[in-house]
Amino acid sequence: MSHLTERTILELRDGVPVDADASAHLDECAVCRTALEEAEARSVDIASALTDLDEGFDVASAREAVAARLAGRATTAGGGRQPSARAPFWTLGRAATFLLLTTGALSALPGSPVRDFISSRSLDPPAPSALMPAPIKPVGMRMSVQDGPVIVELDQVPPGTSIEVLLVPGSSVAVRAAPGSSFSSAQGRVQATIVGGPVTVEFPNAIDEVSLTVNGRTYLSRKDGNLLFGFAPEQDPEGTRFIVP
Amino acid sequence: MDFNTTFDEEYLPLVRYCHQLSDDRDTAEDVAQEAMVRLFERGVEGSSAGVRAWLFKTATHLIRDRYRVEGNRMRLLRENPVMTTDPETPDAALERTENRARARRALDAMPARDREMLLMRYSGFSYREIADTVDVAATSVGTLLARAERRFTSVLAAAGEPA
Repeated sequence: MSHLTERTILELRDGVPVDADASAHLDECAVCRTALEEAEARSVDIASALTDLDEGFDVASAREAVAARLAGRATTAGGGRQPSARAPFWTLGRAATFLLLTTGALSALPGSPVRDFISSRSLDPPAPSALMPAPIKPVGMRMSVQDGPVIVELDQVPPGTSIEVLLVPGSSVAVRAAPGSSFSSAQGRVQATIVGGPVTVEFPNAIDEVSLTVNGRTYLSRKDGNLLFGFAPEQDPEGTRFIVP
Repeated sequence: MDFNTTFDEEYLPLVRYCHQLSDDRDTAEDVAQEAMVRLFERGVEGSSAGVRAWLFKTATHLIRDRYRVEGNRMRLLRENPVMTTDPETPDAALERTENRARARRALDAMPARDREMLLMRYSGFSYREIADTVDVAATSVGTLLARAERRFTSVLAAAGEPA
């Protein structure tokens, strides 16, 4: 068999299924193994170079802007439609006026079910809309990582702040905290200045070597898949939530 | 689909991809936000990976449309100062600026399709998802990606050599 093509080398590197002959060839061909190692090294170089392009983006402001746009479009839905040749009698305004007048008149009647309905509904809090952001909006940063070590450093974390550590599928590390916190990243490293919690740190489960440092102290690390707890002031029974002293 | 959760999980990787692709911070933020608006307006449902693929594909098309309309004008007019909020030393800041410029030059030297493929690959997408976005056969992705990587690394290496 001749040497593997560059395409097959990349497919092997990137986990794309290849035929058994290619895998077998790789086992016995030093040239192709070297090519695969070079492709893996190139992948690391490219990932590193692309990380250099990263800038900090304000997720909270963007979320508010998108929520506002969605809310704005929802109230003007239909504005982009083609007008019909003849305007219908039941325009939105007329329908609203009719409903208001009818409801008002019905609610004025003693024992009216409309009256009961309105009085019971008025005490309920407004239902949260799926499109509107919740009042408390954490901010955060997510960064793709190819391999370890992955380091998260949290600084100026106020006492009493809750920090939850999660091992999640995928290939990215993420940190979320209260608005006002700031984040920066470099290769394999996320640094954050935390103004408040709760803080969530997500490490990719596939990465064997990770560490979490809080206010200069290592709280947790993972080597060869084993979790190690360093300075852990207070933690829940599962050891994934800390309270900063 | 919960707005906050989806937004927080998808926006940052999306806006970074848009920034790498467009080399323009404003464009990146506009396009990423427009893609998010369309996602929620259209009620796109699916797995997390499916939603992410939809967002990246939408953003890729939006950026292509912008470049088609504006041509090179944006590139000629663009000022792209390196912004950083990190408390870096002058040396570290300089090194970061140089690294960024090298990576930018390497991306700019690539044809648009190669650039899209490379950036999607390094955003974690599968060959099939890349193929779907750039409209090539899935079986061609390995070959095209190999060429894109070669081109990127050769320009990157050349840019790092002393003049």
